[in-house]
Amino acid sequence: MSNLPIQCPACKDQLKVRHLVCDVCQTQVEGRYELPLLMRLDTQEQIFLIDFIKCSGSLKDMATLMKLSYPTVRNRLDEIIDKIKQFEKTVLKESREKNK
Amino acid sequence: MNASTELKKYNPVIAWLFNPFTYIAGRESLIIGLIGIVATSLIGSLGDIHFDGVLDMHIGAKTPVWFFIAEGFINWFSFAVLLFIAGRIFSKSAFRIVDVFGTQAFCRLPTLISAAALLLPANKRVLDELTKMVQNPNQLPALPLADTAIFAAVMIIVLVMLVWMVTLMYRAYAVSCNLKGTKAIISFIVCLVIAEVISKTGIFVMIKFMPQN
Repeated sequence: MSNLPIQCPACKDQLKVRHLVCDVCQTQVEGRYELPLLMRLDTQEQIFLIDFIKCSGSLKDMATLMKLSYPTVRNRLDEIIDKIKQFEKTVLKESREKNK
Repeated sequence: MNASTELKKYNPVIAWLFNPFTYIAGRESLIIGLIGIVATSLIGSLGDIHFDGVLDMHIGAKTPVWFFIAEGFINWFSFAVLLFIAGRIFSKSAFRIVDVFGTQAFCRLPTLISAAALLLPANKRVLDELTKMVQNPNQLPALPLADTAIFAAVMIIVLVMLVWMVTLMYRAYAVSCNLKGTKAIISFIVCLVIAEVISKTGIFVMIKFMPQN
């Protein structure tokens, strides 16, 4: 299965979910859904977070797994945290604008 | 696929040369770095090569071995402490003290090559001739061509090692404190200048209080 596209190829804006389908009974749902926060991260960042959870949140174990130094792994995590905070701000801003 | 597959993106040789801290930090870098500082001091003591400042290197007076080792530790410690303070002020990350001190000790490894290169006898002969020339400007130095060529090569090696060491120091600071951009560069330069003054002062104080035999 190909990777889920999260960015518009034309204007680079965040894509929304419009269409969902059940593989078993073929039921289709149409609507306008936001991508969950973690799905907005790129594939590498999602893999990083999955590995981080598998390592019970231990940066030391993560560093061993990735064969990288502790500060390099911590810096990578800090970048993802910043990105998530940025997404949260955007979501909050969008919901405020909707409510106006 | 897991996060380690990301490593394939980097050229490991270039990463090890200019940013080894992607792979090594903390206790390992501290142990290797401290062994390097002691080894550099021991090699330096064989040829009276003093590392009398964070970036300085001079052939000077005969002193006990402990003095060479103390110089190495003063240079490493004064700079690492300042970078740690700067990191605490400017970084938003919760970084570890062992990463700052460890990586900064590791950065001093190029001085080992400089000290070894300066030990070459041709180097000492050229320096002796140059000293004589300074003391007696009318007398032309008797410098064999081979010695001059070796001396020039050694000076180039020392210069390259110095540039490499400063590059490593900056990368170590940026990685261990998670800083980048103008903030990282300016704070690094300011710390380097202050550390140079502190280390020089520390070594000067050590000379003042050194037991005279």
